[in-house]
Amino acid sequence: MSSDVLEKRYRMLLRAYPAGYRRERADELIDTLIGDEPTTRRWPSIRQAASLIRGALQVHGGSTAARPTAVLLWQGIHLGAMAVLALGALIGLDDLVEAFQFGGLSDPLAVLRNQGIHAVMVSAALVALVAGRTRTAAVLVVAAAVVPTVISPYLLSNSLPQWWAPVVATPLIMVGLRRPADVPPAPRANAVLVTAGILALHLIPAEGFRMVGMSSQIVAATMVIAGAGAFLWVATADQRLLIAVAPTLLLGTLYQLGNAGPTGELLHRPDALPSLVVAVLMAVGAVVSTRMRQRTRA
Amino acid sequence: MRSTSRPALREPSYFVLAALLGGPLHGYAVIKRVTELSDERVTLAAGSLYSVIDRLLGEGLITADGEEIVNGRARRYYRLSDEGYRVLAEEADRLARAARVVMDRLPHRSFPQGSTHQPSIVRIRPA
Repeated sequence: MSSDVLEKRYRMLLRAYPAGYRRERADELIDTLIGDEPTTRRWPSIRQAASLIRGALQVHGGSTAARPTAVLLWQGIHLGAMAVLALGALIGLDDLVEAFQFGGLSDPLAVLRNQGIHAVMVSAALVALVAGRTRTAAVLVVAAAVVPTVISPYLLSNSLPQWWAPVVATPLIMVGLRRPADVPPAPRANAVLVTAGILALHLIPAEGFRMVGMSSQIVAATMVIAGAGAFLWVATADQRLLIAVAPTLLLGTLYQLGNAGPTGELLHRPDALPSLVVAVLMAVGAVVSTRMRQRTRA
Repeated sequence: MRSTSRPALREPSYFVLAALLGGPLHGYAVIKRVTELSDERVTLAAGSLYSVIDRLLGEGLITADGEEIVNGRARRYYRLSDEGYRVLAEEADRLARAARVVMDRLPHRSFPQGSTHQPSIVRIRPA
């Protein structure tokens, strides 16, 4: 009886694998997990659960694909475009709400003109990309970079990160249009999950480091270490995340460059140049190591 | 020193290939055999085992060798391919030669106190 319960719970964990892989391997994995010996265990061990989740992440990242490097690159670029647009939309909506909270209601049309149109167009491009309408997304993302700026130069003149979002996403989406036929697109649910994970990374309150209070700094340090650790645990298994996160870190760097220029501030802000450099190095490392593994996969 | 440009096998891959030297095995048996062969130093969890199996299958070092139904579930067996034998033998030879370089130069064959047995000469880079 306990083995039936255990099997059921293992099957729940196996849902982390892509459907195709699960169809092929679920029974075999369960057979290996349960083993030959009678067990009274009712719950999977943490070690087995972590191993299954990492295994599933690796398969999502293209480890079983015929061309793992191609999957890593093309899907990473696609996920990067999605994450940049999602971050741009999130920042845009946050600023929009803030503008209404602090006096915007006296001239709502100005707020909508300055920020609303841009937020709507970036969100529309994101929806098109999530829906798999890449060509529509390409048109919308170019429009999101140009049209709101023609209507109001507010976002551009302040070099706000949400203005940069469609600018950064455009080349990624354009490149994504040339994805080879043998590289499948990232499954929608998986892409949404990856995007949410990258957004969560950006929501870590790293600004606490700059506060005077020691307790704020300790909380910030704990959150950053835990968040970065969790992200790296996932991203070293599904290395598409290492590629996808890099363009999102470009937004903070471009914002800093636009406002303060190439000053020391650019080097000290955790969401600006230092993170971008680390992210780019990790992305390059991921591609190189996958390429080497592809040559000698074992 | 290397006879080919092939990088060293990772430790789990090495022991999975070594486990299959005795003939075809299914997943659970591979885990047990790897644990035994490595003196319990390498204990593969199921997710890790299948990551290794997928890589080895992808490179053609092992092949699937039939299935049987046990407790209503498909149990798949794996065996070494000819290429797998060749790569494993080459790797074992490389490790033996690397170990000999050190063993031949050790002044005394003395091992740290408390050590119950000689250290394994099959030390390869971690996974």
